[in-house]
Amino acid sequence: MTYSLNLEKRGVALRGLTVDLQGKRILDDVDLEIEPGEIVALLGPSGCGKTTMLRAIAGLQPPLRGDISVGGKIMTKVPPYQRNVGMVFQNYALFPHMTVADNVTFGLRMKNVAAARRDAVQTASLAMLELTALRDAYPARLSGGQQQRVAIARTIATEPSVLLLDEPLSALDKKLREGMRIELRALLKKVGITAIIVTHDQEEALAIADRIAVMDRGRIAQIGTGAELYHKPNSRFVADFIGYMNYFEGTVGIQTGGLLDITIAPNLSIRAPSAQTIREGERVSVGVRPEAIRLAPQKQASVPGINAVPAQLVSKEFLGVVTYLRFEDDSGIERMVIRSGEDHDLAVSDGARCWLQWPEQASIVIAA
Amino acid sequence: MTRSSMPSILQITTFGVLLFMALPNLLILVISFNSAATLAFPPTGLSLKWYANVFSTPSFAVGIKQSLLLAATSCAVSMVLGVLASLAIVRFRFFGRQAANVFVMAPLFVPEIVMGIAMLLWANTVLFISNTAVLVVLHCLIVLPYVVRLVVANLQGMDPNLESAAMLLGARPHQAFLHVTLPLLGKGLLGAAVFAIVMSFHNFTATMFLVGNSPTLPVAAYQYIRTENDPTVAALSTLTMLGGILAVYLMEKWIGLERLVR
Amino acid sequence: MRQRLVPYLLVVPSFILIVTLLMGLSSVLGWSLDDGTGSGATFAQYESLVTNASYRRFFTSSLWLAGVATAVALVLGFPAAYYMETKASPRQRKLIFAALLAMFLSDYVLKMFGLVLILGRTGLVNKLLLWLGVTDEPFRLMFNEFGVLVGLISGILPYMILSLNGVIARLDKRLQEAAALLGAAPWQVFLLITVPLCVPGILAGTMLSFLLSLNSFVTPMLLGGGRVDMIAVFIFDQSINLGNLPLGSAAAGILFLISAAAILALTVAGDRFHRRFQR
Repeated sequence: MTYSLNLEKRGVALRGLTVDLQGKRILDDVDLEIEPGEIVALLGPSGCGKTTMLRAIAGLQPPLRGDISVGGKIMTKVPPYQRNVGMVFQNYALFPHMTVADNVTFGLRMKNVAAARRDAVQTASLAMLELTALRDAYPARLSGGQQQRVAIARTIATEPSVLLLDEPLSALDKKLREGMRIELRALLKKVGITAIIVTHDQEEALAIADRIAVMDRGRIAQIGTGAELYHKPNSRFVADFIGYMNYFEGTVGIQTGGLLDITIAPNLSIRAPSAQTIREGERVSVGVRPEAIRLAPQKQASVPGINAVPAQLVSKEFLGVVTYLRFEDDSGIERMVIRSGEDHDLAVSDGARCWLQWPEQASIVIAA
Repeated sequence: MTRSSMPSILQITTFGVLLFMALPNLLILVISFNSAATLAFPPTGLSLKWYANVFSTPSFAVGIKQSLLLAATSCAVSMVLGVLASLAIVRFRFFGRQAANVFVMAPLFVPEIVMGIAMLLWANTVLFISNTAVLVVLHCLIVLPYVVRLVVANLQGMDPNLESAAMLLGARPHQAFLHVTLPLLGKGLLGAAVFAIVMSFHNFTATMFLVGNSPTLPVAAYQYIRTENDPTVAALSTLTMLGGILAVYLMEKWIGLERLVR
Repeated sequence: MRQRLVPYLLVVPSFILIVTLLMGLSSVLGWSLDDGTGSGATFAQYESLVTNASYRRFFTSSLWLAGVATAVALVLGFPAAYYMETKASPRQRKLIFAALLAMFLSDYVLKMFGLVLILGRTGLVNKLLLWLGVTDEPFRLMFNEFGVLVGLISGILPYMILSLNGVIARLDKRLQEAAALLGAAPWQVFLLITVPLCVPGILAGTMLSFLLSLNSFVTPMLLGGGRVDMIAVFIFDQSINLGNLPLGSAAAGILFLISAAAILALTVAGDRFHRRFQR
């Protein structure tokens, strides 16, 4: 008889979650709603509270206030060993004195699951993570990738309602890490479990997660798909954390035909798609991604309908697939342009003056 | 001074120092196999009779039994106390943690002779307590700081995530301790236990105040040296040296010598 | 709430044990202040220990002997520790290390007995000297301060070397190399770079050795033969052999204070050293 793991997809909800550690506020009134079966990444710099959030969900860190619910059931006061929440630690925390098989059945033994069922679950978990051949090996003999699979097999064998992963790829070397991103996502989708993954690497978050929650100083700055965060960041913090952004500060002028007119210098204005919350006369930042900008020679007049700012080329940095072009505009601010491959914009020579142009739709208005 | 003469001076000093420390032991070794009844050197003939004499001397036979019993008991008690206290100190953050750490180390700050008289006076204030029980308390006090120090070092070297991982897999705290912490700590604990036994077995100064009519081995040896003059003590010394070498070997195997002293 | 109590419950058994020691120490204090009536307190015992020259001798003589023994052990121990950490092969090192530890763990009483065999009237040294014809009369090498000093040094050397070892092992070799490249001769490197960086280990080893010597009982008994005054012998004689518990307790109290002060001084000095050089 083959046993198939009984993994139900459950949602996770945090309401007003607040955590203090040694008198310092680590999580500040966090609300978060995760759909059943969804993969959510918590992304942020170190010290933003992402690992603490994971430990709070696991029950390893009691919150000061707020509630954690899994599958609609409030878990805040449930001890970790009764929460049925799986966690893959940053260093995997495999028990060094147990074989792969014993690591995998540890949870079942703790719960006094009958031997027959235990063997069946063990077989199923090992098979799902392609570890059957390594069942009698000790963790110290395994590669980083194999250790990670054992850590996942060990948690899913207990059929958790949600899987937490703390920087799961950071223990691997760089080359392997990039390959493992896609593999890990495929694996989580195959298991079909709700997963929360903590990372400080934006590319990792983009590659693995369905949605990303960007965290800043104990709060969720913004949550959304990778494309949403990239194209519609709600703050400079989010915009800067994912990719590079050029900013133009200005005052909002008139709105015409769904476009805002923003004055950034006495004789210079740029246009952006209008946003509901922005009022006339307000100070705003306009963000433009470096790859949205194209170059036009200075002598050519600005093309109507397209934003244009004059600037002088300072340096060109060839990085293979792309080239970074650093400009300085008339007020001395650095402007970054990224062009790829054999783009004809790359013909521009050092010290040349150009127009930096981009379509209105590429302007992102961010409240200052 | 030329460069080549530097290491040789260093070498001579080092080996001189080592010889100075080892010479008493080496001499004892030779004399213990000597057939002559006086503690004279050089030896006149080979004999094992002094070894037989060790076990037929009543005070030594009693002393060995007494010391082993005392060492085993105080080792067991202080291991339990020490492991519990170490767990609190390493695995928990609580008010007074640093103070607790210092408090447990307190016996290290008390000179042995003072500890001896202190425990003698303490025994007089407590009614109905046997001499042996007081000795156990004294020896636990002497070993506890070493046990805590070694166990704390071992616990600190262990990944705390392992216990968290066990609990998330459904292990209750005591199960996590039994199935994960304890087995991983195993060798470190054995090493600490050997150290505790050795420290207790050889304690003399503080013990002397409390032995009464059934002296421990070091006390018996001391009394013997002061009255008799034959190589029986040399044979006894050789035997305890063997014990010491075994202890060093076990500790090297279980915790590593470097970890023990640093 | 229950969770918060767990660490306290874990330390309680150890606390109870330590409390017995504190009770004992307070009994010592109580006896030292005893005025014979059972109700009042007096500092008379302490006063006589300080003012009576024959009592004071026990302290001054102990401090002097412990100081000399420690100084000699440092001078002998440093080169040995240095050699073993920097020049010895890993195999040699392990062997020396094991030998040191065996010494450290060997029975103190029996070690002193070994020294008696070496220093006695018919001991190894005198036999050798007579045989070589250096002298016709055996030298008196024990039952005097010399014998006690040899015993103390032999007892503390393992502690000293092991303490020094720790710091020497952690020395950054590149600092010595840098000094040499800047033109320092080997002895200058040693005096100006190596020794100052070893200060924490030197302090720790010195203090430990000093206290062990100061508190020594077996050595003055076996190698001093009762002719060399040391505090531990005084305390034992007064409180056990002569039944003068108040005087013995007061002496124990002073010894405890000296030890505590020394440990405190070491902690403060170590702290300052760290604060100065480490961020």
